Amino acid sequence: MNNSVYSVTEITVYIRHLLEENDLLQSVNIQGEVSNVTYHRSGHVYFTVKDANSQLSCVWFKPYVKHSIRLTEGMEVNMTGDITVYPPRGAYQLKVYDISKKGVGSLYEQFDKLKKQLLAEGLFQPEHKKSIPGFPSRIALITSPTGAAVRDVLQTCRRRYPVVEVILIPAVVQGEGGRKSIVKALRAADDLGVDTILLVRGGGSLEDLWNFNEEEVARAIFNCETPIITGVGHETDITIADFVSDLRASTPTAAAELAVPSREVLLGELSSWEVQLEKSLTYYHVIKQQQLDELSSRLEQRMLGYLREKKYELETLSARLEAFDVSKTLEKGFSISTVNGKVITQADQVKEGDILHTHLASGNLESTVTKATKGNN
Amino acid sequence: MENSGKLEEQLSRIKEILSLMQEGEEGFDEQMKLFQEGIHLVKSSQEILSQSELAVKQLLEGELQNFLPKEGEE
Repeated sequence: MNNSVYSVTEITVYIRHLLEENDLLQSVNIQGEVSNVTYHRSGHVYFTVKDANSQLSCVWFKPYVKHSIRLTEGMEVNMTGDITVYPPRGAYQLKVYDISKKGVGSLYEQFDKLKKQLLAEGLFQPEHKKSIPGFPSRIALITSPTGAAVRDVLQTCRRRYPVVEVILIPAVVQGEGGRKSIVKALRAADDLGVDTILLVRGGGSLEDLWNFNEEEVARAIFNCETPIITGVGHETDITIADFVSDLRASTPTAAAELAVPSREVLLGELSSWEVQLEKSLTYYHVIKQQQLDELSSRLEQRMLGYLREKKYELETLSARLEAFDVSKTLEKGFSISTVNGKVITQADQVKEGDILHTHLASGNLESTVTKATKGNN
Repeated sequence: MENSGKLEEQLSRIKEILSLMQEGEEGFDEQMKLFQEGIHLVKSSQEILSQSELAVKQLLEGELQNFLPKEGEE
């Protein structure tokens, strides 16, 4: 047998090692009835859980204590924790990490259950997502008026798009009363007729953010007629509210960035438009100048063509005039007679006694008509 | 604020003017008029963007009041 002698501490350390190295006793789920609760000033909570035959000492250290549940005598609870040893008293105990009322289920279970339910009802469907206005005039901001979130959102709006008006609707965003407060704020924001609603809260534990996983809040978001952007917690936190909202941002600042356009981007765009306007006008002038040049050269061509045409016409006419030159005919013995300056071609143009002037190839005659005999044609 | 709606209207009008001018079907006077309107809208939009100051109000008991930011913890 083992003849070694050990100190109390040595044997206690060994026992502690045995328990803490045993996987079955770590992260173990235990249910029982609460008794002897002490909420200590230090923030730690000491209590015992028992069933009909046994009891177990429990310690709930401050960092793990959640305020959404208040332990009372006789309360039936589910707990998760590690079995450990408290050497000063030689006692084993449960170091509690999570605790919930029996029957309620853990927060994770509740989260999953509600998520599945609302998903099945279609509340997360893309066709219900309203589009976020690009140039909002008024934004409602629902959050705690004293948190970092309100500061982040206002700073972001001031930097990006101070043209907008922000209406803060104060709400309790943590713990008791949060659910009702958020629902009320959502309705008030919807009634204001703003362009966009921002529902935001800074980071925190699952318990801290729990209000955003409440069914009532989810339905209030769904029923809002105003587009809603949520920005709850940090990058990795996703709440039921985020699934229902029209747009999910990872943080309050990101939510504000999604809600308003960037002044810098718009100013850049405006400068480029200014340049384009000037280019358009210059381009117009260039085009018109070109058209003018074209017209003036066509006009010139036209004028030249006209002059050519007239010159040709003149030549033709003068040639035809020449053909009418009668002197050659007179040379052959024909003559032209006129009465009162009119050339006589028919007998009925004259009557007896008219003075007839006759032009010969050389010289003129003057005679008196004694008889005019009409021709047949 | 009024300004945001105005800004949006102005931005879309500038875009419209740009495409009208690029079509180039307007007469000279009309082109000049469009250009001047466009430049005026650009300046006015730049002014709105540069000179606006964020207006913050608070809804308390159904009334809009001025919001005075306080430092504090979540």
